[in-house]
Amino acid sequence: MTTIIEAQGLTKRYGAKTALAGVNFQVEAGRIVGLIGPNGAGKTTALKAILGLTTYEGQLRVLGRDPHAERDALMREVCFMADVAVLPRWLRVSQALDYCAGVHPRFERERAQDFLRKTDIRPHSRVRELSKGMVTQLHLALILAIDARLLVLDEPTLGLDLLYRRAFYDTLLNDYFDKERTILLTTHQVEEVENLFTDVLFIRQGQIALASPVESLGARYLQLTVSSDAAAAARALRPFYEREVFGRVALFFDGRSAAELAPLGELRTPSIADLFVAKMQGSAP
Amino acid sequence: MNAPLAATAAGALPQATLRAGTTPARAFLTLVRREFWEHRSLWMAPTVAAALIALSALFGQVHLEASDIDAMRAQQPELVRVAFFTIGQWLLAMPIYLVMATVVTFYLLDCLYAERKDRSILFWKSLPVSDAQTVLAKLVTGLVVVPLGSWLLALVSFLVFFGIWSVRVSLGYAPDLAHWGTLAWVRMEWATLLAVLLAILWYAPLAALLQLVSVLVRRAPMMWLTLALIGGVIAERILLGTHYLWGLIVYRSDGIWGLLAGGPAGMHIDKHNLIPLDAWLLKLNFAGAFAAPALWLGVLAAAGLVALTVRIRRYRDDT
Repeated sequence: MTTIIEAQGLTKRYGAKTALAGVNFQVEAGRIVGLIGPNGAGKTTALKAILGLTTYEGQLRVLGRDPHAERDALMREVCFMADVAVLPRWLRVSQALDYCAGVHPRFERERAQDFLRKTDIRPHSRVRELSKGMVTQLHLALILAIDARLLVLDEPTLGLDLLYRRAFYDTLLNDYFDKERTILLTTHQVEEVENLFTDVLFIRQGQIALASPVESLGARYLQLTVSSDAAAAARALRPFYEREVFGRVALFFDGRSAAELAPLGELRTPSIADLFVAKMQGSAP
Repeated sequence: MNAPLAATAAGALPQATLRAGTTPARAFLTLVRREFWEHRSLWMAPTVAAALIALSALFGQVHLEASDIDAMRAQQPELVRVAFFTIGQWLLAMPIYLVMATVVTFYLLDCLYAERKDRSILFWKSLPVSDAQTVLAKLVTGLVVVPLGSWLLALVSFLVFFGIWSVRVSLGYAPDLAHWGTLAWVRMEWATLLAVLLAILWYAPLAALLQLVSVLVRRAPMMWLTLALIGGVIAERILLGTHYLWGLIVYRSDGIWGLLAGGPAGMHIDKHNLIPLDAWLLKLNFAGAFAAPALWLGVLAAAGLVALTVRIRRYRDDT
C-alpha cells in the first residue's frame, strides 16, 4: 500500500499558541479520510501544512515530497477546495474552464463540461450570478476534471442545503473516487458523511485523539445503553464517556469485550458522530 | 518486446496527462488573459480613449488666428503641413498614454491585494501555478502588454482620425492644415515605440514597488503607498535634514526623458519655428538612454522587488 501523507512530529506554532503539537499520522492511497475536530483544534492548520501553504516543524511528506519546498510540483497531483467562498465573483464559467485548461497539465475540459451540462449552470454566467450551491457544483466540476492523486476538501459543503450536500458527496463517490485516488475531508456535518469515510482522524487541541480505519472501530469501541438504575454496574467497567438520553445512560468503552458488556444492557458500535463527541468531551486517552 | 507495452500500461496516468497537457508558454498566456478578465479597465479604458480620439475627428475644430497663419505661411508650406501632421499624431496619442498609465497604476496596486480581499487566492493556489509565475504574469500584463497594446491603439486611432479628417477637408468642412507623410508617420510611430520600450524599463522599479505594496497591505493600497512616500520624505527631512528620497521620486518620474533629450538644451518648437516632430524625435538620444546605467540599475532594483514580492506571496499565511 502506498503512503500518500506521512507526518511525524508535525508542529505548528502561531506565536505563543500551539496549533499542532507534534502529531503523527499516515494516510494510505485509496482511502477516504475524515479529519474531524472541533473549531480551533488544528484541522485547517494541518491541511495548510499538507498543501504547502504554511511553514511547520517536524517531518511531513505528501506524495513523497516536502509540501512547502516542492509546492509547485505537488499541486500538479493534489487538488483542494477550501469552501464555497473562494471562486472569484467576477469569473465566468467558461473562463474558469479556459483557465484550468490553460494552467493545469491534468485537466480534462470535456469532463468538466459533461458534468456542467447536467446542471443549470450556463457557460456565460459569472460566479456572482450563481447560487451558493451552483458555485460549489462549478468547483466540483473543475475538480472532477483534474486527474489528481490526492483531493483535500475543507468544509466543501458549508452553507449548502441538504439536497446539494447529498448530491455533492454522491458525485464525489460515484464519479471521482477510485483506488488510485485519496480524499482527505473535514466537515462539521459528520453524521451525513460518516458512511463515506474509510478512515477517521480525530484531532483535539493540536493532537491526534484517534486514528483508525472505520472497519476496526467496532473491535475497539463499544456503546452500552442501560437504564439509570443499572448504570452503577456499567460504570465499574470504567467507560471513558457517558451521557444521559431520555432517562437512559449511554456509556462508551475503549477495549472492553462484547461478552463482558452484553449482559449489562443494549450494546452496539457507536456511530462516528457519537464516538467523536465521546472522544472530545470524555477524559483524554 | 513486451517491456514497452507493460510500461505503457503502468504509465496510463502520465499518458492521459500528455493528452490533456499544457505548456509553460500556454500557461503564461492564460495567466495574462486572466488579468484582463478580472481587470477589464486594463483594456476598456485605453480602447475607449482611443475610440473617442478617433471619433473626435468628426466634430473637432481648429482655431487659428490670422497672424498665426501668416507666420506659418512665411515658412515652407509643405514643411508646415507635415509638421502639423506629426504634431497631431503626437498630441492625439498623449491622452491614450495618460489613461493607460492611470489604469496600470491602479491595477498594479490592486492585483495582489484583490485576490486576498475576496479570498480567491485559495483557489489560485489550488492550481499548479507558482508564486513567481503569478507575480510575473501580473507585472508583464501591467508593465508590458498594456503599454504596447496602447501603442497599437494609438496608432490605429490616429489612422482613423486622419481618415475622417481628410474626408472633412475634401468636403470643405475643415482647414487643410496637415499633410500625410508616410516617412514622417513611420518615424513617429517608431520613435514612440522606442519611447514606450524605454518607459517600460525605466518605470519597472516603480511598477514592482506598486506590486510590493499590493502584496503587503491588508487594506487600502493607494493610501498606504501615499502615506509611505509622504511619510518617508517628511521623516528624512526631519531626522536627517536631507531630501534624497524626494529627489529619487522626482528622478524616477522624469529622469529618463532628460537623458533622452540629450540635456536641457533640447529643442524648441513654437509657431515661428514649426518643424516636423519626426525629425526632432530622430535626434533624441535613444542609444544613450538605453545605455544609461541608471536605467539598468532600476531594472535590477525591480528584479529585487519582484523577488521580495514573490517571497511574501509564498510565505504569508493569513488566508
